[in-house]
Amino acid sequence: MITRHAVEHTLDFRYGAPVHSSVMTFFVQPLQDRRQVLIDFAIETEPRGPVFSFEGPFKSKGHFLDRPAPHDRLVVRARSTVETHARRNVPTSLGSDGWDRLRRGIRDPGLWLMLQPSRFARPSPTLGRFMRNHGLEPGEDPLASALELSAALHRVFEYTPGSTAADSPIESILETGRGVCQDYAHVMASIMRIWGVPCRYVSGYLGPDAAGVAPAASHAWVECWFPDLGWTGLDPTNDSGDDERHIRVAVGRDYADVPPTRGVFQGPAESVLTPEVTVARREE
Amino acid sequence: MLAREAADFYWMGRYVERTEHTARLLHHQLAGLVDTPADELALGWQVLYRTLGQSVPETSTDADEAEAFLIADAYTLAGTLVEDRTVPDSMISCWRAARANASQLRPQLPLRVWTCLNRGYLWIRDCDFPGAWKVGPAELVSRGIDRLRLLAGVVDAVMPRDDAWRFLELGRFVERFQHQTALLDAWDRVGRAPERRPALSWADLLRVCGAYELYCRRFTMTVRRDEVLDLMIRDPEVPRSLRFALHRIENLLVGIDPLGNRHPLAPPHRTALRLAAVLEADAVGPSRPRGREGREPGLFERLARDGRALHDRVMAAYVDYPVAEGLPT
Amino acid sequence: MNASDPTLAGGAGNGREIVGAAGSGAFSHYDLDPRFFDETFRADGVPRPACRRLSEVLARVSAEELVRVQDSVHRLFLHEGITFTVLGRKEVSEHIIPIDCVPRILTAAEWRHIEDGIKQRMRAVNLFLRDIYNEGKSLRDGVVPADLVLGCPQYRVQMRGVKVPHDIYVAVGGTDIVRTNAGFAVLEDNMRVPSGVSYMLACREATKRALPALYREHRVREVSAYPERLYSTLVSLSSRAGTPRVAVLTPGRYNSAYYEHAFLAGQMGADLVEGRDLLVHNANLYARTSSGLRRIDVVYRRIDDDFTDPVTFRGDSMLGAAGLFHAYRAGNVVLANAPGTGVADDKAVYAFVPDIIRYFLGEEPILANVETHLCRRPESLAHTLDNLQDLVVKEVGGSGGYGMLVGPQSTAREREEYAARVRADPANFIAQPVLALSRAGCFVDGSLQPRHVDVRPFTLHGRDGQHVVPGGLCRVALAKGNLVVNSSQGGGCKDLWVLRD
Repeated sequence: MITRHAVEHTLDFRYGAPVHSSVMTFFVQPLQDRRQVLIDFAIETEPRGPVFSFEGPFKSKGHFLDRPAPHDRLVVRARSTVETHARRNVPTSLGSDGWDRLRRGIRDPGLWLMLQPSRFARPSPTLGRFMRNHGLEPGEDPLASALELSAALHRVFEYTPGSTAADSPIESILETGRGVCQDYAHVMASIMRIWGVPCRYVSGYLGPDAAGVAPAASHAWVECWFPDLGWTGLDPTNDSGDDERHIRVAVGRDYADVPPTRGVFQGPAESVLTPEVTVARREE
Repeated sequence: MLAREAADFYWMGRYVERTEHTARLLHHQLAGLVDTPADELALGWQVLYRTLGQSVPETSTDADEAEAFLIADAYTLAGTLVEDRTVPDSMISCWRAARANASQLRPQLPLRVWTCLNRGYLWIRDCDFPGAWKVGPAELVSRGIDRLRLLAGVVDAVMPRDDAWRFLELGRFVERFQHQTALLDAWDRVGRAPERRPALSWADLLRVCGAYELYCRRFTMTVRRDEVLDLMIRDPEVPRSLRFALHRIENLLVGIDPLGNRHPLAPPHRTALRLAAVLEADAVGPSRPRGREGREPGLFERLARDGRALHDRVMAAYVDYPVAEGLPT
Repeated sequence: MNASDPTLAGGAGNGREIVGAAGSGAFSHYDLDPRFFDETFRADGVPRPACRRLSEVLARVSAEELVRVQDSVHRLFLHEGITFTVLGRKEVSEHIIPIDCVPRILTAAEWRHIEDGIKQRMRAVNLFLRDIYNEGKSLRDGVVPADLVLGCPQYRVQMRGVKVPHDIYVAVGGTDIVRTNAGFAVLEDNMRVPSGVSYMLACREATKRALPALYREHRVREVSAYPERLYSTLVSLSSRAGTPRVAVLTPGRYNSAYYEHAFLAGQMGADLVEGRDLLVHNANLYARTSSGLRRIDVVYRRIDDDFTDPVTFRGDSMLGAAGLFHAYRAGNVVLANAPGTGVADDKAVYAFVPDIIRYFLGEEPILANVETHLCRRPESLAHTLDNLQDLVVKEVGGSGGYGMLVGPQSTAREREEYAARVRADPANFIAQPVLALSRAGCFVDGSLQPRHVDVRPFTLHGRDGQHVVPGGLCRVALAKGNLVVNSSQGGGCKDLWVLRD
């Protein structure tokens, strides 16, 4: 079954006083690949002006803009129509010699890269303690271990909006037990990489469920790589796989590679960002 | 050239000029230690500080106390103005500031200019002020002035007449204009106070400004206030007259930004024109140098205000302009 | 000055007897040590042929004359402000790098060997960099362990798939060459922002002035064309028609190498820009001038990758220009060196450079590497920890001689603390044997004495090929017995004379 989403992602920057200029990059354009179809995409800004697109490090499409004239507000509105598939039938284990087949299968720099520690997803003494305290160890099978880890994180952490910031290190969620989806994903990626499973960070949206009860939002989860299966989505925040609600925008080693927005402005002002995401869903 | 470099050249010019200004006044004061009456010297210190925009240290014009004040305080005051790094207008501070600007301009600055400025700074940094004081206090300052003249000569000899030079000179003459305005104002104010006896000598003002001989040739050896002020404000041939500085400023601005080219009659040009008109129109009779009843601003106040505005507009037009205005069309 | 008093300015008389042997005359404090190759003398104390004339003359001049020469060199540096900046706790101070007036001499044959070796190395490293940011063949083939490269803090994912002008990643390189009794070897590569070339040029100017007659006699190869070469190299990388506009990007005047940035910009007629002078508009880079914005086509950047663009790399840096990488990716501006070249001078990757040469060029390395133990390997870690007192241990990403342990000169306590750091993060460390660096004659405390030296030649790589400047920054450890030559560690420098054939 195919689900069609109409996504509108608005970033509304308000400055306390007019700023001289601002420069920004965005990762807000959904991916187009075998698992997801991007029907259309448009980005518009206020004040108006050109927006440039570029290819990011992991096939993600980024955008860039600069506004050199004084302004006290900058609004970026990205609209896209995306088709997602219902969840594939993912097995719960790889079967015999899972670890061996996994190790042998990693022969590509793109996979090796997702085994390396990165700025937000890296080992640390705190992480080591956390893993020992919760008995987090790889099991007989890589895929089963990943599913167990996702379940464990979901159980151990308490999802608490506002408890961490965009640039919080994983120590914050590890020590307080509270965090948001980005923190869940960073912890999951750090541990999977330690265990030798290539794991990447996914930035995206979570559409409403079929009943239209759960609200839409920006979201983050991970994808682990397994032989035969390839990149497989795992959402530790919801302890689920990725299904038709998960709209993938960009992948990277962690948040730092693909932030929805990163910018600087010149001028003596404070800036307040109000992001807003709406997703309208239609089954086909 | 880069806007930041233009600003550095401009400030370098201002600081070099400021150093020389301080040095000239100081030299006059110190040379006068030999024979000038003590109370007049005290007035001189007041003028000096007032020109630098600083509060005047408490002094007495009572002859006996002033005599005691003469040597000890002169030493302290001169020392402060020569080698105190915490005093922003001291010679060493200005020199250091000029050097700091220059050090960011090395790619644009001819090596000879840098070397001359740097050696001058190393000289004043390493000079033995207490030792120099014993030999003859004016001598040290005089040597400093010589070094500044050498620098001016090297600049004149080796720098091409491009924007770098123009901004350097612009800084010098804006600084000169502001300083001369302040000096004339302070001299007139302190010297003319009716209760003050004796007053400051107007001939000394001419000497400080290097215009005494010219005055004598043009007028008489009897020095009169009105004629002195007229000369120092309006004469186009006296290098330290306001007219002279303004004339140079106008020429430099036209060189940097030919009129009507980038902005038709850009703000700095307009301010300079207005200043020229003020100089032309306003007579400095004994009755009119100050505003009436303090309501209408007097000539010096207007010159001081417009002189500051000139600086602000130079910065706004060439350094801190909004990005959108600078984009190529 | 009378004729019987030989001076360095005028040249000496030409005696027939061998003067200037080690241990005699002005060389009376010069003791040879067979452990260290001596640049000036053979083991028997007779000057090497290329150094004969120099030692003859030096042996005859008085200590006063040498002091005078040394002073004149020092004064030149002081007056021209040839300084490096040190940020102290309270204030910024400017230091003059101590310069020794006695040149080190290399023969044409010795230089050819070094030059060929460096060119080969740079060629291979460049291909390696292109590979790791594109298809990654060398990683698949296991030439260098993938995690070493992809996990290197200097690896920039943003560079993956980016088209680099003419595939030249390292346009400006510096290679630290040491000499031992076994011959020349590469100690370190500098592929990010190598510095010191201005000192090389200043040393040459000063030495030339101090020893004019000797200089003329020796037929020394010129280095003065470096800025011109640098300019043409940078311009050759731009596709802009007409005359591309070059800018040198500096962190500002508090940077230790600010003098060099200013010097090179001045020599090239380039703008010396700081981040605050730059802005990116519509994927083009502009500099603020006093008459509006002017486009910049090539940036010779002297700041680290992380600081070049706050919207691409480190967001908290204001040293670069927001969007610079965007203009670069769009092909509208050249960055030299390209971002991400730091992988190639990582001290662990260094160990694999000989393999990289064999893999990409199919040639044997001309210049040897220094034996290097990677502490990431358990057996090397054990070896390192067992032999700390005999080894030099360095952080893989370190430079400038900071954060390293020189075993023989360390205390037991320092070794203990260092061992703890190594154990905590073995992959971050490498160990090398203490090198018996060669020694050259230096004027120290009124006499000529041997001191340890190395040399950093500079390489330029443009569209029209590679060029190694015939000379280099010859660094000297002026304290007796000291083996660390970095200027940040109190080292000095001297001129290097490469002789013509």
